Amino acid sequence: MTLPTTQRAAQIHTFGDPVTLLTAHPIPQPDTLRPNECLVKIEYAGVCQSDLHARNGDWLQKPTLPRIGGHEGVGTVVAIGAGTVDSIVSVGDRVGLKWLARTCLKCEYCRKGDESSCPARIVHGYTVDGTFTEYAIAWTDYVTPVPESLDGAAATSILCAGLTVYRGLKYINARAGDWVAIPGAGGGLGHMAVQYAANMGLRVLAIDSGDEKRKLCLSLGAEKWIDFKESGENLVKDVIAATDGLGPHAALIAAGSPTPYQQALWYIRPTGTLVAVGLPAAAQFQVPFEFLVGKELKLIGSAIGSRQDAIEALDHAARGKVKCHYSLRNIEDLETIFGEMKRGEITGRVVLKV
Amino acid sequence: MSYNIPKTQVAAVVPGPGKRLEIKQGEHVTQQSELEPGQCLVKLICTGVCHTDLHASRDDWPLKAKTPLIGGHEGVGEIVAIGDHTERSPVKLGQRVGIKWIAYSCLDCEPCRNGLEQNCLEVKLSGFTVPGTFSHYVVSWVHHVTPIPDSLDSNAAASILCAGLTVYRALKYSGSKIGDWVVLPGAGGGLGHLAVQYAAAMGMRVVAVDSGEEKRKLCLELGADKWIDFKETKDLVKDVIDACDGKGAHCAIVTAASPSGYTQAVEYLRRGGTLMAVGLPAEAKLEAPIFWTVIKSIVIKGSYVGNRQDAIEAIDIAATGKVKVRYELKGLSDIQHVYDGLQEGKIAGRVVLDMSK
Repeated sequence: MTLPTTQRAAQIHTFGDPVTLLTAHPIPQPDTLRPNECLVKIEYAGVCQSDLHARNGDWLQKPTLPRIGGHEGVGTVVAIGAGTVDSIVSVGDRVGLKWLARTCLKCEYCRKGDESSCPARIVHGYTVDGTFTEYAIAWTDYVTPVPESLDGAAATSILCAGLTVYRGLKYINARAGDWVAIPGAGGGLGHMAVQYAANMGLRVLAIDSGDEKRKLCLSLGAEKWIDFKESGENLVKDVIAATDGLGPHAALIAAGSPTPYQQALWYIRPTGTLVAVGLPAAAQFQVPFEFLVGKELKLIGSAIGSRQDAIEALDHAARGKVKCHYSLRNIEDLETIFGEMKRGEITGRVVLKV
Repeated sequence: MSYNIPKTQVAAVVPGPGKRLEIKQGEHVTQQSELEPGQCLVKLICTGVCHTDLHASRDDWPLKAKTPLIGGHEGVGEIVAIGDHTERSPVKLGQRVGIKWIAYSCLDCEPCRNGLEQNCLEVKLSGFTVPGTFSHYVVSWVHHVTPIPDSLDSNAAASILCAGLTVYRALKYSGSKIGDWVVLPGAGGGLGHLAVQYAAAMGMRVVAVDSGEEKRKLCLELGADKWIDFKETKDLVKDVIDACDGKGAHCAIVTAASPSGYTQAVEYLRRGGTLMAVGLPAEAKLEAPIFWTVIKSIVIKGSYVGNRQDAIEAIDIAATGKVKVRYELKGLSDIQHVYDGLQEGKIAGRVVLDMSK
């Protein structure tokens, strides 16, 4: 097949500067693909707050530059590298790209299913180019097959946002009927966490602000709602009151600032679990021992997930149990979207039609 | 580093289903250029013999071996060649590795993704569906061979690759905690004596069940807390319950190839206890009284070999010296005698074959 030679892409050149919109970036050609690499024509790319952190170089570990960002993509395999063995996909298959572009599958972490911690991991939009582009290189043993019944745009945000909250919720090991508090329940990750949690039989307390988010959360299965701006200093008291006067059994927190995590230490009931999936920049989580030990709390960090978690997260969506609420925009809007994200103005997820 | 790889070798071959073993000269040795990406050639130093090898040669299982068959799946050797275009191999030329029952798993299917590599939909079984370790050279897969630490002698490592791994994994997945009572019917046998040691290493309290003075001495020496001779006792179930603080065992690991061990276990397990079924009798059924299994909240789990992580852990524990295989060393040329011995129930402990003999 003949591919065009150039494409559009959003590339990070200098941390903190607006991304550069390239219009004639070279497309990797099929004959240059190494064994087990594949070329994917991206149809949809999700925008994640991590992409903003990557653009700003916020974290201790920074992307290598220049770097095409993005790590949530759905597209079609258009070429597979010569010499590829044991590929799980063929040319023409629809696949998902996620944060983890590839892990080794052979180290102790991978052998135990902890692919997120593989020391040899390759990351889209960070250590290799990602999905804010028309054609991306991915790996045949790591892309996620997308179920046919699932629309591409709807599948896109399951690959990072959905996966992350799904796996975080799994780690709570909750029983049906347990209360889980979800701060930021109206956001990109939050609104999917509400749905996965409700499907797991959990009773969901959605915490966010504004009428639009309130309506969304309650319609997606949250049993109760608290507006944190209205509660103000009374948030902890209000959360405890809303959850049978005892506090929730768990909290799943995707927030980009430390405050919701600190508050959760106060309202989670003794022996409860706090699962942190958010990545506030330049921030510390202060945990008084009286809470950690005195309340016998479990504090768990959960990062994205394994191939199996991704397949399960997509499967729930394919069966109609989880729907991503997204607005469809263009690659050219990326900087505007980052601005809205920073100000907390986005409900649900943003997906770029590439 | 390059190795002189001969074109032919000696191997013990079962020519057809149920046929007698033949030691054959002139069997083909896969050359480096013939290895597929991901494969390696291992020059064997020694190999263990497992009862499964006998089942394979006698064709008496529901699962069928591929004949002509070179059996064996407890091999220890050195990697002498790796296939071209092999990516990211975790092992290198010259490294000493073990080959176990699970020679290959795809790592992509649902069982593999969930850590059940032994149940891979594309699994390849050493000495059963692909050539095994009763030969001098064998093809295996770089991501599935088990690295052997320098501190563990090859002959000592061989039987860990199947017997050790199998009982270790059964103990690991039984949910047993430190201080729990674990009953081991057949504790003096090939798998049993390793189970005694792993259980003791994991902090469990062991009730060894077997027969005879020699096995009694062995089990107590290896760390068993209590011993029951099943031939001398008048009431095995009562004796086991009494031995476990009068409440019964937390766990039973049944490695015997006969059904009676299973029924008794449901009786002597305490409430909430776990029965790990490991032994593989061909046609027998596991009989457990439904009423007592339910009323006592008994858990019954099948445990089958292990994955790469289990194998590495089993070998690493042996390398610390906490688990030592009791084995008899023979030569590859003795293999038919060993099979006869296994058939007649005359083999105590494990047998390891030295390839140079």
